[in-house]
Amino acid sequence: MTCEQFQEIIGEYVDGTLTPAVRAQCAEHVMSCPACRQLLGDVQATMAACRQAAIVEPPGDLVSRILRATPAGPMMSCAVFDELILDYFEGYISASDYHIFEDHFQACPRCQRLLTSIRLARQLCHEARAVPAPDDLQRRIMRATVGIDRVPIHRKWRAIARRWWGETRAKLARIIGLVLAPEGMTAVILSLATVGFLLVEVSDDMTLSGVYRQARIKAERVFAHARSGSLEGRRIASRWHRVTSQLSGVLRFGADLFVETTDRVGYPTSGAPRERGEKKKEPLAQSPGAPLGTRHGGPAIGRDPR
Amino acid sequence: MGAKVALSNEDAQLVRQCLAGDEAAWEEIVKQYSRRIYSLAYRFVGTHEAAEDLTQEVFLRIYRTLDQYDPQAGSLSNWLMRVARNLIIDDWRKRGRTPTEASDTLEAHAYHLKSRAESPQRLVERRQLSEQIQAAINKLSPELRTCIILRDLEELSYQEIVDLLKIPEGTVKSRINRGRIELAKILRRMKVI
Repeated sequence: MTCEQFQEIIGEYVDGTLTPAVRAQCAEHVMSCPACRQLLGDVQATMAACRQAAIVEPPGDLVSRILRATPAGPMMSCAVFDELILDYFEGYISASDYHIFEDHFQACPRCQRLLTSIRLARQLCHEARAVPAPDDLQRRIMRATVGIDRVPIHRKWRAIARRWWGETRAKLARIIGLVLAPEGMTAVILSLATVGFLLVEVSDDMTLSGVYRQARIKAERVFAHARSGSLEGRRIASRWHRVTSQLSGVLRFGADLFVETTDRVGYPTSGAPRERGEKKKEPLAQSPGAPLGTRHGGPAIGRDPR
Repeated sequence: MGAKVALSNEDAQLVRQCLAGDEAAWEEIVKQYSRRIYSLAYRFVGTHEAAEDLTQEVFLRIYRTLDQYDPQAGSLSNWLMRVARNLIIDDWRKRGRTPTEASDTLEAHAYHLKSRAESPQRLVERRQLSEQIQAAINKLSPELRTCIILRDLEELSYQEIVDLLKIPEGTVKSRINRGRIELAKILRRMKVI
């Protein structure tokens, strides 16, 4: 065995995975070759050093850091997240699932990318407008189906009439359906009962014109009553006005008499009504703007008596 | 066989509790596997900061895919480490297989020491050896580096590496062989061995 051959399988020799025959040849070569013996020793020492240094001590806070980074509460896998995406967009996701869904979304870059892409795709679909058809498409379709470019005019009218009849028939069916519904039937019965009542109780000849006639007569009566009531009210109001004006004249006379009497006796009459043209008396009370000290006619303090 | 079934039932129960929102059960899983996953992440990315971020990311992914664990298909440990290895290798490939140089000082990682029950001297030696091995691994080409980490640090079998990396067994053996020789030479130059 040469040195090159030995060095090609030195790893397997150390691992002990060679066949016994090859292993024997290697052992023989190692015994005879100092360089390969040296290399073998180095490789074995290297492997021992690797085994010794295999475990690297992590920092003390690594565990707490990992625990902090993983959200608390029940976990949601990406597979479950994928299943809930449809419900999320449709708004059917339950409140409890929604929170776990949100937590997973915050923590998982893959699902963040996925959800963002789906959201974007949905938005683009919504924004997409209908593609305008080529101008001659209609003509080409007509030619391909009925073999002509334009439909004759009578066929057009026939189509319009058919369409109108279809629409009218649908409207009639809808109205009949409404009438036959429980609400519609109730309304019809109530209306018929009301008309019957009016014919029997109000009309004098069991016709609708009789109802109208009787209604007019009653309305005229009501109007006449209201008119007479109004005239009576006006008469009462004018009588009341006369009484109040007489009463106020009496009161005014009484007040004048009182003032006159008090003036003759000599009582101060501040605030009492004053006869027109009567001489103004000196006020006993001081005016609000006068300085202190002038209350009793004396000179004001600090004021020039002149 | 009985012990295996009991273990599988325990795993299934733990996962069920996690899925129901039991935080204690999830904490148990994080405590049990964070060291192994962090070590693996560190070997690939080369710095403690990046390894921390990657470990956190791996646990987040595990958290979200925990319902996919099938107790009939194997133990939780195997499933979890398989998921973690795939994620870490994927992440490393996405990063362009450019590990950051382990330029961290010993002081920067002094907090690592307090969680071990060994003597301070022994811890410092282990720490130094770990950093030297990491520096040597960083010098390997991406292909050799992946195989060496999976074989000599993670101690996966050849077949497991074949399944994980989706490459032929002969290629795996060749890369492991070349990687070991390269690593031995680098460590000798660094006077580690």
